[in-house]
Amino acid sequence: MSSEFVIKKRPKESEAIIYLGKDKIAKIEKHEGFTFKLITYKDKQEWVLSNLVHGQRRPFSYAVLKTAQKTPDDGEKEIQTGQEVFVVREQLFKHNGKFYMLASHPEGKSWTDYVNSSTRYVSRLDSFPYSNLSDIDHEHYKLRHKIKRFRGTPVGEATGLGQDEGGHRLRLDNELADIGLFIAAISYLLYASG
Amino acid sequence: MVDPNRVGEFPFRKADPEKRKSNFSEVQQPYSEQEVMKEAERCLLCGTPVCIDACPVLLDVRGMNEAAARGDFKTSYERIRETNPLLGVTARCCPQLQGLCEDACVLKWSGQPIAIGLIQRYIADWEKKHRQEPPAIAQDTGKKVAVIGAGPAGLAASALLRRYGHKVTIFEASNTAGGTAWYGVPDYHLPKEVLIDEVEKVRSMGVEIRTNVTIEKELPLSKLLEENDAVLITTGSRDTVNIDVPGSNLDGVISGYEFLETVFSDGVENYLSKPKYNLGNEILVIGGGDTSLDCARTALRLTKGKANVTILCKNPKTELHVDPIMLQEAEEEGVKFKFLVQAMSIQDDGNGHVSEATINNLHMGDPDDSGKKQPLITPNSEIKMKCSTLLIAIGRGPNSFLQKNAGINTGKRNSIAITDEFKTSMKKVFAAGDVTSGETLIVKAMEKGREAAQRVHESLMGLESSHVSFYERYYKDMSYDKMMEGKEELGPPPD
Repeated sequence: MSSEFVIKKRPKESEAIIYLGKDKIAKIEKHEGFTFKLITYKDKQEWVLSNLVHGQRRPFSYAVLKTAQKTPDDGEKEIQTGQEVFVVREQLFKHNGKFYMLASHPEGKSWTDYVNSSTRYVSRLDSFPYSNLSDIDHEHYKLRHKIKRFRGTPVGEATGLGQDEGGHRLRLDNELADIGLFIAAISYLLYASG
Repeated sequence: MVDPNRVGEFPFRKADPEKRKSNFSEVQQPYSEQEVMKEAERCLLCGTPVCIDACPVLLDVRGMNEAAARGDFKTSYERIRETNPLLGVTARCCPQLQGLCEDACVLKWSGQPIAIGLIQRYIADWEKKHRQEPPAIAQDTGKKVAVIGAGPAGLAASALLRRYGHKVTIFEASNTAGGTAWYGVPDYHLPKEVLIDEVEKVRSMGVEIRTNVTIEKELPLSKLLEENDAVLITTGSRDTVNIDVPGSNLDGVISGYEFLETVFSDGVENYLSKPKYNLGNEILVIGGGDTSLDCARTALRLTKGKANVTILCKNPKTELHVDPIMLQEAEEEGVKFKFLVQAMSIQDDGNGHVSEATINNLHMGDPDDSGKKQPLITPNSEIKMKCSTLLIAIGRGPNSFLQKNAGINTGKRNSIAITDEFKTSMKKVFAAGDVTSGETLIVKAMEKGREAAQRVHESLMGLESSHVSFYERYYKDMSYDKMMEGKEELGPPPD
């Protein structure tokens, strides 16, 4: 089982619509400063998307932050605006104790494909040597060599620009289904928004 | 809608392999002016320019393309030069399609990315013919900084320190500035006149470069500390990793790094007039990285394209740590490869010279404790290969000479240990680049050189508490709107 997202840029700048299969499920809107808002259509859940990650503006990084509005999962909990729900830091994220990389090149695939193909993979990094994303800060420059150092098992693929007729297309394996919407929004903003 | 294909060939036009394998002239063929403008026009001028995000020195790719598309090469040059003093070098040496600007270009998601390297190369070559003023330099601060090492990290750091208004002197151990870019990158990849010109431009900013001076040999570090307000060490990678198999001390078994340095450090034309090596016709290279490709292709050229050259790699082809374009070029020139093999011993011809290598096939085993699959020897799979020269290129570590002799604290592989502010264990001494991290790309060494220069400047001027990273500054200052109005922040780097 997998999830297939399509993110299409709307005619109005800085907005995009996210589809899951054929269903329109969310939109991305420009918010304050350098941030965006992610809003679901069905139950109007909102999050802020910001590239201020762990106190610093970083390339290829986005944090998904709660807004003041309560979501159905919050119950009686007090909502902290800006509480981090999900983070991609320099193309890496952690989910259920495992590390993943966006726009990666999995083990076993030819480098010629990497250079010539327009498909990028979401890979699970089974031998990632760190425990937390913040642990890698002092060696973060190695991430620039990511395709030489960290390769993994493919669990998704992405291709296309938001402004293409077919949009930015992202397929994810079931293990990422619960954060698929966040990954779709961030993948679009990082790579395909133009 | 933008044309999905880049102008000309992908990734670029190359000289004919049959002709180029017997000489050292440049493989990559440049764009014409019309081609540059047409290719730059394909740029979407993204509001969020991920090409800049992916560049270690935050080169203003978007700005470069915007100006180049209209034929305004002067503005294009100024935008690149703001953060990159070695633009001709990096245009040729950066693996743009591997994790850098072209890899990040959004057009890659639906076709071929902008030929950023080719456009940058054209602008650099254009400037050589239409010399521009150097970037503005801030008022003299009265501070003096010594930089040890005139490689990419040292040159980038020195250029920025000079722009901050400090007096800068570089001390270089060899007789030519440039570091690995000089002695380690073959001329067919980076013609030496490009590097010489860019080093001269750094000099013309008022940076003094003293060559043939090894610190802690000709001059003690303590003297530098007496005469300067800060010292920045950028001595790079030098300590080669050697193979340890029977026969590795035979004549004809040569360090690949020493080989390249011997051929290129005094200019390849000088070498060709008085060659040191008799390579023979059966050349083996042990390695699997970019240096092994450079060794193989250089050896091929030194034998006028006639020798059989084979690279022996421990890894499978899909796991090589090489630039895939360089790999393709080597294959086009007839360099052969054996993957998943390991040299076990080297045989003597009876006169102390290598004649043969015994190699074993390998296979990938199950993942070990670290989760990585390791290559294992396949039983009963030994083969012998004729060998007149064996070049070893299996890696280099940081240049450990200075830190060992001066008593500076070290980290992994005798690298210089530094803080986040690039400070070493010695007061007033900073370090950056490969000497702190191990071998990396030219542009990454420049990145660290620049970041260290910023930290040195902040330390000298008492500005450490107001540090803002280059990335943060670029993100806020270099907006699309400002670029289109011509109001982007150019000038002396702000404090």
